[in-house]
Amino acid sequence: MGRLAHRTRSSADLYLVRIMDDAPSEAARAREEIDAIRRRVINVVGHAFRTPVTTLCGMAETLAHTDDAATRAALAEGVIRNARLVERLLDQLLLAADVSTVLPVGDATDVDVEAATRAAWDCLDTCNPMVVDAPGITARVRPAALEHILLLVLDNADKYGDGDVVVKATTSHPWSAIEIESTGAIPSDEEMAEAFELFYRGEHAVMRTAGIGVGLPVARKLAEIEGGNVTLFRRGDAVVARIELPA
Amino acid sequence: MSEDAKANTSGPPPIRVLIVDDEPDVRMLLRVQLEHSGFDIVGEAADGRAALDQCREHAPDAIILDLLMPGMSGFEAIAPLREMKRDVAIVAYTAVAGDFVRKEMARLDVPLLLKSGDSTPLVNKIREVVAARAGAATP
Repeated sequence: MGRLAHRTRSSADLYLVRIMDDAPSEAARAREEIDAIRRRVINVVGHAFRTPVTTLCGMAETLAHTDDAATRAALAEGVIRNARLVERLLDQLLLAADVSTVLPVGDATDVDVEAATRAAWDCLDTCNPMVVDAPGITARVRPAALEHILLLVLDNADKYGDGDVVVKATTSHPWSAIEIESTGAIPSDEEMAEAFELFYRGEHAVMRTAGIGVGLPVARKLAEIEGGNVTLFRRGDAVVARIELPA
Repeated sequence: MSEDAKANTSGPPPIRVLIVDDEPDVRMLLRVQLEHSGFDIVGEAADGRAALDQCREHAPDAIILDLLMPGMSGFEAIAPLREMKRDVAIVAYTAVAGDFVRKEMARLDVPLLLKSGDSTPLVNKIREVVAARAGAATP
């Protein structure tokens, strides 16, 4: 399945057409692979949207029939929270379908990593703590690209970690490295290997929270466009996402 | 419990419910919806282990149980919850349920409902299961 996971539907279908001329049995296998990917995508997306959408409907309906002011306020806040969650999921889905929708314009410039990290963390609207240690470190990228990459990788660390998220950046020319470390349940070897597959969600991720499995693959794609990379590894009891970008 | 429900003291005592879901907004919504329907929400828990603690403390009549949660899942919590309170009515309440989940809940004799904005099916199911459990417990 991994062989086709990164292909878009159209390229996968072209691939299918090409090999159908050569080997009918291979074509059948490829069709099964494509069907499996489609089912996985639909399943992951459906699962991710169901809880916030049903919560949103329930809250809106209940709000209309509730007189108590405190309850109404709590429900209204819940409506906004869940609507934002749906919006974020939709953004991720569009990113996964076509990363060019968020490709920044303009030229690379020296971007302050610590300030960009804090800004991205604020966007996540999370109560969890984050510590950043990146004094004076810069990356030479388009600012919006770094913002997107950090948002996606930090969101992952926030959702799947159990304690503080610790961000540390260093420069060793020609690269700046940003390491985002989180502790919690450690993914299996298979989950680590598949983490950059679009729409892949490991057992640990599924049990933990809703999501659609596009954060790390899209972050890596954006980093590659900026001339860098994103990798994932273990360090003791922690999981580290390492973003390397031009310094 | 809503003021309407509190005022209605002539009927049977309200069904005491424990809500178990890792999503705080789902718990909040269920609390408001079920209190409007006359249930007494005795506790909330964000995972299976907290559900066991709450069940021990409050001895609820019914438990609304999410299945996919971090830490101890709903699947893992069913047996110890029943061991702790044999007559407790458990309703599995989940976002999606494939074949495995449906078969597993059927095997455990736990009714399964898909999450919905409309609380009516859940309200009816809790009443039905609690009544069935009470009937089964009557000699």
